[in-house]
Amino acid sequence: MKTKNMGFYQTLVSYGKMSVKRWVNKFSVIQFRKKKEEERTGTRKKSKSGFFMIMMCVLMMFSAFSMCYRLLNVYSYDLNKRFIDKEKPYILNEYVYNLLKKYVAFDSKESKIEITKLFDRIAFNKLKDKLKNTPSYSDFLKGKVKIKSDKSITRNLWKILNTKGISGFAYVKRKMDSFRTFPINLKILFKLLGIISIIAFIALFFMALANKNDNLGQVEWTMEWLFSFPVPTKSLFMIKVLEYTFFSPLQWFIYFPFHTIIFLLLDFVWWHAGLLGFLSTVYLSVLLSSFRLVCEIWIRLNLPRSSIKNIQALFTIVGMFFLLSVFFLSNSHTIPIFLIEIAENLPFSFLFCPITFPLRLLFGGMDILLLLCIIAIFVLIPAICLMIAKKMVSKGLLKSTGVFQGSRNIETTKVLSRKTIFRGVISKDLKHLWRDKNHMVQTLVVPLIIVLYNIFITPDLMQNIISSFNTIALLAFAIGGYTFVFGCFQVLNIEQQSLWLLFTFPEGIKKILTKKIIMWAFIGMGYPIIILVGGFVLIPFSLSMVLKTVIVITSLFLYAFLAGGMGILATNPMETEATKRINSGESMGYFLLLAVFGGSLYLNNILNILVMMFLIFVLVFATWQKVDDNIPFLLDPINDAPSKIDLKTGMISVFLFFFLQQVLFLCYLGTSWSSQQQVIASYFTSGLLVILGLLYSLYRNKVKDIFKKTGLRSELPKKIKRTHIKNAFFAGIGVSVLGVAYLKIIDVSGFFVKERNMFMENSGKNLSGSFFWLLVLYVFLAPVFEEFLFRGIVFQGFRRSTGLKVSIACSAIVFALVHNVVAIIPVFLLGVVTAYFFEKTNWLIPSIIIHMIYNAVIISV
Amino acid sequence: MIEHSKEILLKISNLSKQYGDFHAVKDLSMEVYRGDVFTILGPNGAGKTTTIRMLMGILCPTSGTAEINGLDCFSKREEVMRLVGYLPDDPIFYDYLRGSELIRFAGEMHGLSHEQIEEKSRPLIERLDLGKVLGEFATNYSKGMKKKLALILALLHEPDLLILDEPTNGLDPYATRAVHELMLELADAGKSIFFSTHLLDQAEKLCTRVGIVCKGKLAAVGTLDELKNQSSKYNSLEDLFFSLTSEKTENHEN
Repeated sequence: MKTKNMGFYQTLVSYGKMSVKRWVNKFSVIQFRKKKEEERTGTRKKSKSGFFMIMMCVLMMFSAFSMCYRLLNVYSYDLNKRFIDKEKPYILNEYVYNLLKKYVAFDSKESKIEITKLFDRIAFNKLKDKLKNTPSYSDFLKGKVKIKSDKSITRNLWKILNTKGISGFAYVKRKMDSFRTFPINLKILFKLLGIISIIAFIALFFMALANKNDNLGQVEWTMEWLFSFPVPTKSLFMIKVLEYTFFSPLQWFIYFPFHTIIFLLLDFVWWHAGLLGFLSTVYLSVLLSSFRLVCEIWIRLNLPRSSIKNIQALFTIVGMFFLLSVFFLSNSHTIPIFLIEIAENLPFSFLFCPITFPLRLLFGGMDILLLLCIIAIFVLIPAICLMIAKKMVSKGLLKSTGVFQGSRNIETTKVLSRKTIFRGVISKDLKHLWRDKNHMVQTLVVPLIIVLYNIFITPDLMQNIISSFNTIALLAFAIGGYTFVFGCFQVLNIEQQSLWLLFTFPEGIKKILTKKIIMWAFIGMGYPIIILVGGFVLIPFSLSMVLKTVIVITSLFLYAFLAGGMGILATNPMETEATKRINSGESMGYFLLLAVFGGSLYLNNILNILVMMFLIFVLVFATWQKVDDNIPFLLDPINDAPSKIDLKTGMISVFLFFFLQQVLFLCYLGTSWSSQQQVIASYFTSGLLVILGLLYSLYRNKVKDIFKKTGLRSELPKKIKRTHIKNAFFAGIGVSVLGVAYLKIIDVSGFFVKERNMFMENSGKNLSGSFFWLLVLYVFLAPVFEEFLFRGIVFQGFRRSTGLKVSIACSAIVFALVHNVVAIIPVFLLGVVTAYFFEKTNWLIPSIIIHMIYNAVIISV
Repeated sequence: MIEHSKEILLKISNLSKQYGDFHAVKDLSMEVYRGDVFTILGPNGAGKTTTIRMLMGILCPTSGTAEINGLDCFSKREEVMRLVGYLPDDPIFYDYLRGSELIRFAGEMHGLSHEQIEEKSRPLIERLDLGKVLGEFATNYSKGMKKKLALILALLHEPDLLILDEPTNGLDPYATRAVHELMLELADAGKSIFFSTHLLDQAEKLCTRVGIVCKGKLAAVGTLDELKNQSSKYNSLEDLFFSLTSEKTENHEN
């Protein structure tokens, strides 16, 4: 059968459908039905990134809009301030201006008195302060804003007031209102916006070419596949341009808000503004896409694949630089002077540049001639680009099949017998880092660029950093932690689809991954060590600096393993699409944890830092427990590890338990209960919710014998149970005696006075009330909930992966840390004893009894 | 064929793998003796690759066990891997490693010294005619070259048992012949081979024993002669294969 050649529109429709489907599939929430099918036949593991992606998009669009709004706001305000009439030398703020207006307008005695008062010694200071911040235009032109002497200000003010009246002054309204009155010098504003638009264009162009997951980054060129259809080359390219236009999110995040906001502020109706913003974005994106297509084809045709990656790395650097510039320009508080100078020197006709044409159109109104121009550009440039592209592929889409291209003809024997320092996975990953220039740039160059750029735009930053070792330590920690996202976090992702190879070696996967994490940790440690050494050189030596250094380096190692574990859990090695292989939500969580520790590092309370380090350690432990469970199932298409009670859920539920208490307490504030009852109610509901939720999640994950495993039920014979309970009684009494003795000692010796007073005050506020409710809370509720969480889940979580002593100690420390500082030692002891009993009996009742006795005794004392 | 000692090297007992409601492998039991060249035959989607992946410890069986030399393939994976060389159906390699570097990497991971690696790989490279492309990144290889490279990686540590998933799929006639000769040679040297295929003539040419699977279940197992002699109406392996597999399909549908 002879098929007809596909026309342009048919191709457009079918290809368009495919593109839309591909993009919809990225948001896999929508893909619900298909996912179920995949699960049934076992073709792919489920991925959870869809909802997250949608949220991210909404958030990005929102922040883009607010950023553009802010940009215009700041710029027109600034321009108003700077380029206001040269005849009016003083720019006054609202307060001073109104005073003067009053004086001139009413000419009454009262206001005259007020004004003269103002220039009295006493009131003069007020005006002087206001004037200090309002430079005159001539000062601005000189480049230096000098504050004149008080006398000359007054003299000038009087002079102007007497000769020109109030019209001799200019005033600027408050920032937020400045928009509706566009700056007097609108031309300058549009020139500035034009410059920003061009910078954004360059940034977008390079970023698009640098995209790792798009055409240039991939091994297979989709164009090859498209060329196998009976469609004319020209329409194929046209469709490709359209695809780039509508499916490049970054373009839409930048240009759409930018133009829409400008139209909105020119008093267009919102939907007119939206439509015009859309059209401008399409226009610019089509230009961008045409250039991009030509460049891509040229690069594909003329460069071997290995150097394409290097070029992409270069593009990343260039693109990042321009993108950062756009962010910097739109986030600064004032317009940078150099930008104004450039804008002043540029002729206005520069706006005829195709990229800034929508702006020019705006400025001139909807002139027919201009409109024709824009349409001509819109048609001509893509047409020329398409012609060039077509010409380029006229001698074939590929210059060689690729297999032997770029072959360096290295003698096999040479490579095989070459001596190397590193072996195995270490050498493999180092090779990867060195050869994947894009990855190398991200890991090693981008952090440097970010820091240097920030120092460049805010020179004070350097001073601030050098001023104390604390900030240096913080900077070292932050950079180290940041690089881990591209190293340790990617240990599994970097194996790509070759993970099967690791499974054929006689070495445990976990061991291999651990080795890799340590290697990446050392790489990430490079900058922090340089910074810390710099700190030692610049700042006079003290012993606390050594302590800080030790803390930073140990915590970085902890974070390396945290990043590694989280990255392994976030990676789905079965996923063929590189963008979806790793769940980026997890890296956000990691950044959050990084920020939390960074904060306590900055606060510089050693005890606080140590507590944080311990908690991070527990987190690392919990993550790696989960990793341990998951490793055998990495290449299993749908089966996950069978669920067990683990530390991760334990820690999450402990956190939830305390968090919910706070939230629920706020809810109960509205009720008519006494504050004591409110506390108890929030404690009770949060405990109940967390425990029920936990049991439900264990049940849903098909954990067998939940009640027995968490110690809620025991199948021991009654006799043994009775002896256990008897023993628990004695132990409880013993612990509480020790506790009371400890509290007495503290009382006498006067330790923790401040903390104790604070504690008494707090608990006094909450708990003054009936003794009955106190008993309910401390003797009944607290032991049951806390024993279930800390012994039933957290202790068991530790116990599963470590020895008895370590797990007792760790769970008791966690238990003690969530309690008040005053009683930290007896609570720790209580944790040890209850954990020991739980281990012996696998039953919660004895531990609960001990806890009850302890609490009862402490309260009554 | 009967004279070789009946020492069990690979033992699969009641092995099952379930994806949701779908049984990829169901209750599979078979044994492979030391020195056997064992073929697992079956149409597409019969569960051959799933079985092999369970043998490699990549997949966790839903129930049942597979043991190699008395070691459980899943829980004792690391020790099992010393004895086994594996060639997947569609080997994918790292983006940034040359063929020779991959050989080195695999050798190092098996604990071989560089001299040993060179000594072991040189004859294999020459035989499979891969020398010219080893300096190139392995992702750029054609499918046949990738397969040859993966075969070299599998043979580096001189495993007792070779597990090959469709070993000649994607190879040209020269390479196919070279691989066949290599397999026969290894078998003569006393190594055991467990391979999957859907090419009947290949099975007939190479193997000593055959297992036919269909829809995840074992349809027949035995030496070629045993299978042919089951019933007089099967003159060839081809007849047997078609009758067994199509019969199963019908039964299943009924």
